[in-house]
Amino acid sequence: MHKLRIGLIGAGMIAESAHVPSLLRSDHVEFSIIVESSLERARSLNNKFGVNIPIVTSLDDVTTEIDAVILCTPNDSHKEICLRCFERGIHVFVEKPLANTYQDARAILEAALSSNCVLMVGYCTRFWPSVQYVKEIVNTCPLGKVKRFVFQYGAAGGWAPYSNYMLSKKKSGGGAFIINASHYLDRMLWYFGIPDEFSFWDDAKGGLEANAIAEFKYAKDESFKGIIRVSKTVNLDSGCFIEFEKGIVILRDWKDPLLTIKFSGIERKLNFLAKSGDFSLRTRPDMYSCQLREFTSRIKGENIQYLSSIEDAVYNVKITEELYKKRSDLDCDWYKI
Amino acid sequence: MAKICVFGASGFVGRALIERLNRSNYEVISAIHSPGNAWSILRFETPIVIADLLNKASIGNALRGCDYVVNLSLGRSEEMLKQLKNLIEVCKENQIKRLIHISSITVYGDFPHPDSKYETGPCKAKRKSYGWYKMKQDDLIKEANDTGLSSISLCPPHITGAYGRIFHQVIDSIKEGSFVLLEDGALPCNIVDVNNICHAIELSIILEQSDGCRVFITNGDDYTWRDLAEQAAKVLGKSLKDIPVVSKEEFLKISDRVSLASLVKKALMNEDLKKELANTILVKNRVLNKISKKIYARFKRGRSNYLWSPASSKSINYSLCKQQLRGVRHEIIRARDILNYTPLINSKQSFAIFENYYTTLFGYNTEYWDLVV
Repeated sequence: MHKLRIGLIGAGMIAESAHVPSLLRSDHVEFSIIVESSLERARSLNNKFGVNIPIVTSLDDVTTEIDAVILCTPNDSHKEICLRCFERGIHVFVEKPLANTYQDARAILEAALSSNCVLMVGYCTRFWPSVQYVKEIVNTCPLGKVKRFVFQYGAAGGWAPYSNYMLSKKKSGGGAFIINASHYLDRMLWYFGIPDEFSFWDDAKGGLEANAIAEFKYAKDESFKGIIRVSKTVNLDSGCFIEFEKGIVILRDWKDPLLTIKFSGIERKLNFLAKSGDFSLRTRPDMYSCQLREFTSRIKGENIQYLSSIEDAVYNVKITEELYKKRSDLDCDWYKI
Repeated sequence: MAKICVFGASGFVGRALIERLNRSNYEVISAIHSPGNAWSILRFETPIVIADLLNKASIGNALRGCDYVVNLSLGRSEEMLKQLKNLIEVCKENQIKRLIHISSITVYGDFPHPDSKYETGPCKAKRKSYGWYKMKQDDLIKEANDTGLSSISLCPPHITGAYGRIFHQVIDSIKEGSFVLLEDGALPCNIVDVNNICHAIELSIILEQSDGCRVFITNGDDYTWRDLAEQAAKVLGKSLKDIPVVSKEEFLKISDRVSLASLVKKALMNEDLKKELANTILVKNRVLNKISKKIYARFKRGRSNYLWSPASSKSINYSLCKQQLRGVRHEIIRARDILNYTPLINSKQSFAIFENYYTTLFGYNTEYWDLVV
């Protein structure tokens, strides 16, 4: 079989920092074309990586055969582009979230199914071994049942996409929650399934939220609950904290040790449980390369166990939409004196 | 409706000011340096303009049509002066009615003269330090005022309330056991709540005539380091009894030893020395190179801010000790006279607001707090 010919739609920050490097590293794909409305941006991408990938400014101008695309445009454009790709039989990997509304997410999924195309969403953190190992702990219960959990992400400022799409509610669909909590929502759905109840607080007050907290309750077996906290104004230790009957598992996203366990207040590396391996930033595989590998495997129909789940990705959009509908004000009236 | 352009609108003071101005009868333009920092003000309906203070055209684009300009921007060393010069020039070109600038009490140096109780005290900031550049900025503001651009320089100490950095520092330091109180905590703690500094900015807008000179803006109370330590300790479920006390004399004795750490740090950061070292076996040898990089990184993280105290048998936070030794309580007589400034809240209330913020954004005192600390 020939190498999969993959096009890139949208040459912004995530394309530059994540997808282009993994496309250029991969032996399984041929990086065939860049579709980007700003010629200058696309050229600068080519220059940065020292390549000369053909550039077009619109999907209509893609006249060469391509097998798949990586879609990195603002959230509100996903539906239209996905549908046009599926009409042409092109498989789509789309950056998270799949869409801004559940209706759009369903429409994209249905179009993918009816055209027999692969649709995959970029929930890349599932490809971290530490995240997978926590999934195993949740499933096999060596530490007993789950009692509470906190997923959190906090970074004051940072990440400035070239398009500034996040400054527009129409384009992004929301603020910090849809942009940053989406990954944690994905992990929560993967670990614990669909929650039974949820509440949501943010500081948006009609604009875009910079801080948000969602609380979820699970009623299965013995009930447990937890929160997803996200902040774009303060720095938090990003990752998840899951309390089991016998201890608290701490999974850090960007800081070593990536995985620790706390028993009676004493924290230590989680390396005594079976199959724990070496969970460190140094040895962690590149998640974008791993997800590209899974995308190509799905296209080829390889018989392997996949980590991504399109059902979870669609539900992610549904639950985000419902959370926003249920929003209450976060207590942050600090300047009303 | 008067129109105000706020440079540095997404920062600590900026976000508070934008929220307050939004509630008042002003049209506001938020000028920020990077869209990545826009988050803190995205919930407001004020227009956001990306502006670079090193680029006069972009300044003009932001403040065109405005009546007042507030400068809350940060900057680094020489850049701070270039940025302010540009801003003053463009304000003059656009006939801005008043430029309100934020100075800092660091202009009086690490150990201010007792006369710096008043604004006219001697400025003793070390050459090329942050305080020195702030002092030079104040000179530019005075000059701007004297040459036709009505200007005022508000001079705050540590700004507190929600997001208050000094509160975070003291809590973290108590948590790691590196905080000590000097002189039984009786030394004055100069702070100003972010609401008070915003209030002073609002008063500066309506001020009839400015003289371009520095004006202290503080909470105007008798808050001490002991008060701060007590409130911060309470957040951690501790009390004053858990915080060691060190005398000024003992601290000064220990602090002599900081010179060695500072010397090593300075040496490792010296560009000429680094160039010299690049030709030596120290850097050519991979193992030695790795070791020297580790030492450099350690100092870069600011570990030289910690001193070993034989009395408390612990490392102590040097920077927080130095701040306690500032000793002077800056008076707000001039602010009262010129601006009619009366603080809206006191220091204890400012800490209470911080606690609320700490609960909301960090989960302090909630049912999940014990999971994440």
